[in-house]
Amino acid sequence: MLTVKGLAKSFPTAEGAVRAVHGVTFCIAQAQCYALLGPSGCGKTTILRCVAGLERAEEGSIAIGGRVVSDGDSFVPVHERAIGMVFQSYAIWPHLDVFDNVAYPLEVERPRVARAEIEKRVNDVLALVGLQTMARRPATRLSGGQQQRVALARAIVRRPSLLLLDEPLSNLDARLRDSMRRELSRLIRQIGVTALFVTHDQVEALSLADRVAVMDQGRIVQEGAPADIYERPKSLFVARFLGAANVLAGRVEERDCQGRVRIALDGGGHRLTLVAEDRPGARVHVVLRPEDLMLSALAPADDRNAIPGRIVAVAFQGSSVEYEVDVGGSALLRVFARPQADLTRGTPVWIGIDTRRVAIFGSAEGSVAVDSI
Amino acid sequence: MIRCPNRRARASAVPPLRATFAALCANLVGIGLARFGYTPLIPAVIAALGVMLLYLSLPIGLYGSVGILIIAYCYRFATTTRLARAGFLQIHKELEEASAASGARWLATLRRVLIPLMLPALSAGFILLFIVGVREFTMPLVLYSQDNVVLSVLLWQLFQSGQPALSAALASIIVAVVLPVIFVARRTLARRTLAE
Repeated sequence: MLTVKGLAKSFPTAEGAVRAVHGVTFCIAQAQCYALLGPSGCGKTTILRCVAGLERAEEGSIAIGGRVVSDGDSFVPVHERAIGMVFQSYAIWPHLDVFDNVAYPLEVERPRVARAEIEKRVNDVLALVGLQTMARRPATRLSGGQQQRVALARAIVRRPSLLLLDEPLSNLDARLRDSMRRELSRLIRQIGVTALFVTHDQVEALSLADRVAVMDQGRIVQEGAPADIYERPKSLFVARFLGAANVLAGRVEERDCQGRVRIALDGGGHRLTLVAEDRPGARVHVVLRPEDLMLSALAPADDRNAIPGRIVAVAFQGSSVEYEVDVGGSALLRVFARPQADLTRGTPVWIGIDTRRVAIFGSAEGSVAVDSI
Repeated sequence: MIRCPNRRARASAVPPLRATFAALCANLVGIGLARFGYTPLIPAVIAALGVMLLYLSLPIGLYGSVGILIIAYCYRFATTTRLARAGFLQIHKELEEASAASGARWLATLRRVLIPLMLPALSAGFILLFIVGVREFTMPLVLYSQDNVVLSVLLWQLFQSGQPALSAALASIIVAVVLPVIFVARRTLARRTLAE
């Protein structure tokens, strides 16, 4: 449906051209929902704007539904691409009411769409997003969630073959974001549109998308199904970005014939024994997910992969509790666990580590500052 | 040898040429200042004199017409373009892009999105221009001749020629014309601010 090949784009700055995107290639199948996930400044929005036609790529080609819209010598302008776009600011026109905002794409369409047809389609799409009773409300009198619905309705009213969403939920407060995320997911599937969205929020990307591409510094560093990426991150960057991961630095001390290595962690003098490929002496980073750690007040029978520490903070979050545990190093370990009455601030605890759930990355990224995101 | 008549002709040609050149330079400087938003720096008398010198020496029949007033006023009113510009900059870029992404050509975007959104800033600029224009006195005073006397100059002429009653009547007319405009402007602009 959408094919992007070798996309490159740079922006001029005072210090010379900065490459925002280089060599980005990906495909989206029909009716698939695809997320570009990355921190701000990683180039994800630039890609979206190139696909929309709001920016012109310097290299590479973009094809929407088999039609090349941008390559070395051809460029189809925005208004001739069969897209719908939801902007980060929603970009609802303040001088028009809800109905006129949504009707706009049909009104500017050539050849003209009959008035009756416009009214029917706008009312249908307003009903779809649950705004049928607000058709004549001025755009300035809308809440954040309602603006989002109007923006979405406006983007799908032309029945585009590709829906582009730029940080669609970032302007909403946390609770509304959750419900809009579910609704967005339902809507995208219901109308069966192919969707490309960019976000910096891993929860959004993992829960909404069928496929996720994680981006860093203008490149896609890993692509795959959400569960796949989450379970098997290829790099420290991806591991850290996808979850509130704990990252511990250490050094491989020795390796036995069964492929197990003993890693001495920096700071606290604790050791872990894990299965890994790294050679003795290598600097490594061990990534521990907060939800994979187990807390107990008693030392476990097998203490090879348990770290003693002391709870320094307890944040009750309803269904789970976030504990912060001082294990003697520079960083605090975060642990998500079920509420346990005996674990209070100051309690000495053992953190049990399930070695199958630990990711280890070699020293290529040794310069990365070690802390938890 | 160049003979007397020639030399005399040359000598008589020099001062107006020099004046034209000077006026041109002054005008260019004025335009330059205006371009960068420093118009208020130029006193109105200087601007009017510059315009007068330039169009007296240029062989286009602008001097003494309403046209020269329009040109002179442009200096003064360059500030309004800043106002319109500010209004334009206030329009979020995504509002314009959303129109293009909805399939609208540039002209449709201009007509249906940009101009309606700029209307408040444009009308505020127009009203400001109107008020400043009506009470502008210095420049028309320097530039007036038989055919381009404006109200403020006429008021002054009447007063000077010992007709205070007539000039008072004219002043009343000016106030009667300007007051409703200011009234309407205050109402609409205040409402717009509230709506935002």
